[in-house]
Amino acid sequence: MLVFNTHSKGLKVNFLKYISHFFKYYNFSVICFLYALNPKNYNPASRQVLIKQIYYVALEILPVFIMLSIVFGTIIMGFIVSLALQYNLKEYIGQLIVKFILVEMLPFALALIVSFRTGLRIGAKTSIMKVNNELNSLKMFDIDIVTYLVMPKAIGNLLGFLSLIFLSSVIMIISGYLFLFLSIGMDFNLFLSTIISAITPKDIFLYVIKSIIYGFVIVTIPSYDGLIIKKRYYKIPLALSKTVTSLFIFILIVEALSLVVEFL
Amino acid sequence: MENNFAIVSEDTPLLVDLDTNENISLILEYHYKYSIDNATEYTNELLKKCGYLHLAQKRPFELNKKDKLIIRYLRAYVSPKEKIAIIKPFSMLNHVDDLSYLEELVDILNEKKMQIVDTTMHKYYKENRCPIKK
Repeated sequence: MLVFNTHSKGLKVNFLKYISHFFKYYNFSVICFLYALNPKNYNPASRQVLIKQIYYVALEILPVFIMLSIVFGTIIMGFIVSLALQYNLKEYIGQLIVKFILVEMLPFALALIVSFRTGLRIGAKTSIMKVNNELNSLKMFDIDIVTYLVMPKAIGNLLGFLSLIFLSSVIMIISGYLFLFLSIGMDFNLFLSTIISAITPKDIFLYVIKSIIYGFVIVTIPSYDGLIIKKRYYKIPLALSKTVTSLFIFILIVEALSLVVEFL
Repeated sequence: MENNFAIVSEDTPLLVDLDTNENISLILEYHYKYSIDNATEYTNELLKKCGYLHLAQKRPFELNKKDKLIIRYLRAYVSPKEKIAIIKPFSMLNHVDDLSYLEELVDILNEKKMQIVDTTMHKYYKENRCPIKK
């Protein structure tokens, strides 16, 4: 009984620690967002970081990303479309593509890819800079870490994420049309009007707001974890592990909230 | 001390993901709002004047300890701070080195005062005493 009580107390403390940590993530992200709104915080150094981040997120993997979007887009769209045709849901194909694939599945999949690729990279880099005293160098020369390191990367990541999601949406829609054309010979204009008529303002709102949130937070959460670690090299893998877990939980929470909003 | 002095010490390393030119240009771009091209050009001119242009494209891991100290000094030189303080320079170098090349830089650049702060004796310091040297 004593062991169980100690264990449950430990779980309760860990749970409260997690909640408090998420509030700290939220505060940090809001601070970064407010910094981003002030034009005085942009200078040639931060602009260079922003441009580099757009390159890392969107341009560096563009050929591979296009290829993957075509392959997986065709498979997934083909599956959805053939399922819809099988169950005689032809008139709902537009809504399935818009609500299920473009608004829900695509941001989720892209958030996971960008988290593991960019988020971990930023977390590792920030942690190493902290342990190596490079952040101390910046502080010594009165270079604000948020305006130089975090905020431009967050904005750059946001812009890169928006570009990638828009590009993959276009590829998915074209893949969907090709499948419909090959299976039932659907006219392109009819297909396009089906998609457009299925789009509601709520869908556009969720599509854009989720992309903005993911693009921004995929930088702020790893950056925060990197900034707060103690100056020990063995803490870096622990910080990265925490970052991955936090990002994944955050993405799931956003997806759940988006579903709630969708069905309101 | 930090308010008036640009500190050069083991606790202020160069940024490893930037090359020499970018490490120095960062200060110009951030504080003086130099464009990237202008900052790069200014830094190259500075390195050329000091005789270290060959280090411009090198990353910190490609530099030896002496070169790192020089680049840290030049980074401190371009900062808005009035003076430069080098804290325990021989802990950043091979201990047999002297600092005459730094004195040469001070003579070439001739704009900011440099102070060395140390807690160990070294033959470079006159009378081997714990110095605060101008």
